[in-house]
Amino acid sequence: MRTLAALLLLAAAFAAHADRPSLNAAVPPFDPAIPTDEASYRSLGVFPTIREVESVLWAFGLREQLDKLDDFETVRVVPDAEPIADLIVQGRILESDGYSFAFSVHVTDATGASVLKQEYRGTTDGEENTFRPVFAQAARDIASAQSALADADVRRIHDTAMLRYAERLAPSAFGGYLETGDDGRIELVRLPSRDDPMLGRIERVRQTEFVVDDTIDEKFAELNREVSSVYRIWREYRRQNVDYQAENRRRADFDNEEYPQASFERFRRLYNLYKWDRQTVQEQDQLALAFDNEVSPILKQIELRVAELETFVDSKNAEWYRLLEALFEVESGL
Amino acid sequence: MHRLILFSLVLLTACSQTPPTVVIPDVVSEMETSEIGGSWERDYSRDDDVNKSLQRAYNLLAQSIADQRRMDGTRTTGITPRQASSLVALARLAELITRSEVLQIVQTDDRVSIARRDDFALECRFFGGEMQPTSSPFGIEECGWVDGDLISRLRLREGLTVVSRFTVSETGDRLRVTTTVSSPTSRMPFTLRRFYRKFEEPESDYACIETLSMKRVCTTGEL
Repeated sequence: MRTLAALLLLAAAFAAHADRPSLNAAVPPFDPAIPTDEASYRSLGVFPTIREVESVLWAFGLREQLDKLDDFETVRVVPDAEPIADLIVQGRILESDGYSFAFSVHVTDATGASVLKQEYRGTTDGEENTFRPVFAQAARDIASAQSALADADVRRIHDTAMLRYAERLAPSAFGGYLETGDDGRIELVRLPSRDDPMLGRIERVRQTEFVVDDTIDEKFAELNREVSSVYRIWREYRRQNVDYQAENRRRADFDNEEYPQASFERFRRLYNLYKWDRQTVQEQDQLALAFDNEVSPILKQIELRVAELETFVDSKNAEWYRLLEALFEVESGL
Repeated sequence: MHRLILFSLVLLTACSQTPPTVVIPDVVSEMETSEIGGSWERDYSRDDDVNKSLQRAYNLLAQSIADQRRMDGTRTTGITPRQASSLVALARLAELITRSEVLQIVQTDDRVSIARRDDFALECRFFGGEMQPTSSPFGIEECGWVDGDLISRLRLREGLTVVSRFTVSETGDRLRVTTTVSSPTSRMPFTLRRFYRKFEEPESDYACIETLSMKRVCTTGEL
């Protein structure tokens, strides 16, 4: 009877392994694409602190839409730019002013293979949900790209992610399962036994780390909640500024000829055109500063908490590393 | 090695018919700077009188035309109404753009900003030690330090140019702003001097910051 039960459990385990697993996805903050040349900020309309905030808010916006689809095991916003996850969804901000926004999404799997590369554009109308349809489209595309993967590929991705994590924690035990090719792609060479006790321990450690990851994700959600209303005001002002600048240009095109050459009115006009344009730019700079003043304390607080959690994970991992390596030595008799 | 691009700043003054060309480097390390940061209020008692300045410019223009005619060997016809009108227009513009009662100057290693009431703030920016012009579809603003003076040159459309020279006294509490406006439509530029005295802003019991959602936020404590 006991043998039968064991056989049934084994069969169930194999069946589970044969099933297509749900993949987890990690969404790091978007690349804010802040130019290294500080002198170009103004001409490109880039405000560094605002871009930093946008990089988190947009990542969170995409994560929300991915989460809604139920196509993934879990979707988390993670602080690390190179996390170990089944799928890594890396966004990059391409454009953001009051009217339009654009970003690119590059999804790679745990083996380093590219799953999706796509650009998205949208226009805003000042409403809170303006970004949502575009993020929803990106989420659907990512889900479709994932669905298009063969079952065997999905299992390989899932196993590779697990073994990459295992290799990081216990390199002596899991050093020989993966190989990195010249192109940087990670190849699964062989699989450990499903009942490998060391693998069981790694899985339990990973589950603990997921709990911390969820806490970090919740911190990003908190940031999203606290900052999104200020961000909406900023976009509204930004849109007004774009309008003012367009109006300044229109005035320059049509009004100049109505004043006689070399007259005071014409000189004043030429001066005022520059003055109005500069005042618009300088007002925008002031607004960006006001945004920084309001958001920076929240941002700092959350960054601090995330850093604490990351330090906690790192120190725990270092401890696990020592323990697992020692256990492997004992168990393998090395 | 720093890239050294020299740009010439033509300082036209009403005191000279052949304006001197001041060449200033665009590399900060090669500039002799001064401390001009702080709050400055207008000292009306020392300001140039616009009418007298205009009369002087008018006389210089007449002299210049006469000299030119003599050199060409032609008969002197005097100042044309168009030349006179253009000079008056420049004088009115100079008066208009130098009317600020208070200047708030912020000076750091890589930036000088001169905030003027009812006008845009003049800006002088240096990135990586090099002068960074501010440009817009309507003009270009360049600046630099020459002999301890901050010089701002604004080149607008149709060749209209405004040069402002900020000279601080040795004691550091007086500031002279010499503004010269010129245009290809006028043979003679127009220059006007304004004087300022340094003053200390009264210390506030409140520390305030600007925010987007709550506008100005003040506290009696530390921000």
